[in-house]
Amino acid sequence: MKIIDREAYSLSLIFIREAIYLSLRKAGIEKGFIAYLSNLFLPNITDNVFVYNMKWFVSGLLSGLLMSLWIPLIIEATRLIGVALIVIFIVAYMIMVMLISILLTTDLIHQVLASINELGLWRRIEYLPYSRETIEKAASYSVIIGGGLSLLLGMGLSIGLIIYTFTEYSLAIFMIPFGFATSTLLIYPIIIYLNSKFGGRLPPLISLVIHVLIVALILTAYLNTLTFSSITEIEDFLNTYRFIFPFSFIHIIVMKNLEPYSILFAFTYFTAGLLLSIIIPSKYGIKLLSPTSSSSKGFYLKRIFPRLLTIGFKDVLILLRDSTRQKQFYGQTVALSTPFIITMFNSVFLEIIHGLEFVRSLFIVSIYSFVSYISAVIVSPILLFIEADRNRILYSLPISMREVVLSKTIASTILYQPISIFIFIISSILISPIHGLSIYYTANAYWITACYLALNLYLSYIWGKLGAWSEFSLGILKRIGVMIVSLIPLGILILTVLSFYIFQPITAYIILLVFPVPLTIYVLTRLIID
Amino acid sequence: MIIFQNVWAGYTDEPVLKGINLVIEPGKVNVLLGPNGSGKTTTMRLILGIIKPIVGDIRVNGIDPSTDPIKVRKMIGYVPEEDLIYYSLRVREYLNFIAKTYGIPSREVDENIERVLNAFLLKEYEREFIGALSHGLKRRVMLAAAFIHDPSILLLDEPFIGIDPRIARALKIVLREKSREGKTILVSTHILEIAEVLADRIILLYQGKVVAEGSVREVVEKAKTSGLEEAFITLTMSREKVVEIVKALMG
Repeated sequence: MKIIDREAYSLSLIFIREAIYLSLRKAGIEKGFIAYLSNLFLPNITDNVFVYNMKWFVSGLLSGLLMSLWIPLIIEATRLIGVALIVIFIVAYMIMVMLISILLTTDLIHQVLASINELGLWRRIEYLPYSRETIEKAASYSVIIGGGLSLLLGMGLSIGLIIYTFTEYSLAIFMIPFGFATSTLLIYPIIIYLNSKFGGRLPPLISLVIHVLIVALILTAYLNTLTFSSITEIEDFLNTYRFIFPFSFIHIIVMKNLEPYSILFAFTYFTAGLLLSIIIPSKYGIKLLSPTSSSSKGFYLKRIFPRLLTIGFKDVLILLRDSTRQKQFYGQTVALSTPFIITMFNSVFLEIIHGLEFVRSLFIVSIYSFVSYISAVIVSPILLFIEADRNRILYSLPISMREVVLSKTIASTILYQPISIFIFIISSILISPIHGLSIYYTANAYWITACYLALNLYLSYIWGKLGAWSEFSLGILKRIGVMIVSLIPLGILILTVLSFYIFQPITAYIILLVFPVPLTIYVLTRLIID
Repeated sequence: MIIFQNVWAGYTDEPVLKGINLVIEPGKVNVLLGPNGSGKTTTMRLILGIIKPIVGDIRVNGIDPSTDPIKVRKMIGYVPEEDLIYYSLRVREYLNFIAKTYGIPSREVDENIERVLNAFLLKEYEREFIGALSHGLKRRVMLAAAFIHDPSILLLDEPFIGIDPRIARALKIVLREKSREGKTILVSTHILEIAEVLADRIILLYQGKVVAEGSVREVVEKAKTSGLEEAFITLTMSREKVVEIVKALMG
């Protein structure tokens, strides 16, 4: 069995390089500081295997550094104010970060495969003397040999180093990167197998469900770990569940010794992952590449709605057909909503709600509208960024900036419906239908308000500029600035929470209900009179 | 030599090519003509073994491209109609990649790259990202890539679109020379003036069938018209279509 096909390996490097180039192109990769950075980190066709992977490794180190930079800050702060048991936060973080490595790997695989397919990278060589098998193998190699493993190893190492530097967990230096590599090797063959099984493209719904489940799993584990009150409790938990990945790795770090059972479990996971990662692309008939035609058969846009709604539906369809953006939109919204949903299943929370006076309980559950508002500010720009390659088309159409804002607000609200309806159902069953309706109304009204405000702000920066509709061109500072400005109304809204204590709960509840009314009515009436 | 025997092919249930028989001989410039969707690109994709015929048999210098596409592709220099090229590579890097893909020995790679860089006036762009080049320059890089391994078969899909008159003129001369050297040349084009000047043999496709083949004169005679454009309109039964288009555009 040929473990690595050299020809496929070389092609995989080109695939990766091309995908990065195309995504960075709008940021002006050909000139300036970005060009310098790109040259520094972008794998070059002439790089050998070592140099190529080193570049990814360094990128991973930097990302890991950014991910764990808060650790020294928090540790210093807690030392200053004398808070005990900071170590619980660190362990919770280690568990979360290890689970996040699964998400990162899944995302990496999806993004690489989506890029290769959607950018048609393989079509550029299908007339050259390469067999289909080599090209398919190249696509699968792109994920792991094309830098994915090095990236995660680098990330794991810098996180491990920071944890070691500021805690007594010396084994973190080895076990975190080891765990990252293991999660990569475990997830990679599964996703490759699933994609091949579905003829090159995991159905968007399945892919989304996997993504959402992993996000929910991470948050649940994280919140659960935070509820531990002592180190002994954590140790007991890890001791009981050390046979499950990734607890064996964390167990070794926390116990500060190479405990044989945990080592056995860790090595078993690593070996199984390694073997599957070698066997699946080499032996199993890989089928990752699919025609670029739409995967949403029978799902098309008819112009039977008012103009603005039709324009909005166009965005809904584009986002649903764009597997990466779709996961970004729902991944972030679900991540923000999960703690609220989990709380509703908590018997203590339910007891409190049921024990409260009716209006007071309505007010408490409707505070979820804040989460909805923040989510909308964070995810609504995705509907602008899906225009990255299409804004030239947008400018050639008779549509004004205000209409773009309205149509994208509508699109975003339509896309939010599965989540708000889910929360409505859960709260209706667990609390009462009135509570369900109250949450549903406030969640949507605040969502619409936030989308409208945030999109207006974003568009005022990019409207009229060609090629400016991407995260890269907008710049991090400007993006953060828009987010802060968009969140100002929410700050004013916090007054309603205060009024909850000052006035009667009914007054606070009415303020909460009335606050988003003007913009919601405006958006909805524009839709009707359009 | 490329032979098609009763070839039916397509992408969906409705075939694009419907039982075509063709012999594309070496030593001639063969020009493939036909309206959009008539099957020109499909014909080239069949020769390259990118798609397989539903029925029928294809032989490229005696080899079946559907069973041994790699061997067939090694003999071919292909320029696709779209910009199927890696934007993230620099011009020299891309040509280097193509040269190695076609198995040119390492010691000859640089020499071949220099030759095509000079031939297609690309020397000054060799360090540029292909993504940063104009459409015309990208087409020139693709032409350079098709010529780099001195193939025995040249398949050029709309090679004259987007390139400047100097290169177009040179390309016509080169294609003539290559055909004299005994290479098999198949060019698809919509520009009838070029077909008229270039073609030793015209193959006119319409609705997936060969409706005429032969020299320009033979095709014109078959259509009983005075020129190639008229012959094209007659043989593809497009006269009414043209009237319809004019009427629609004039409102």
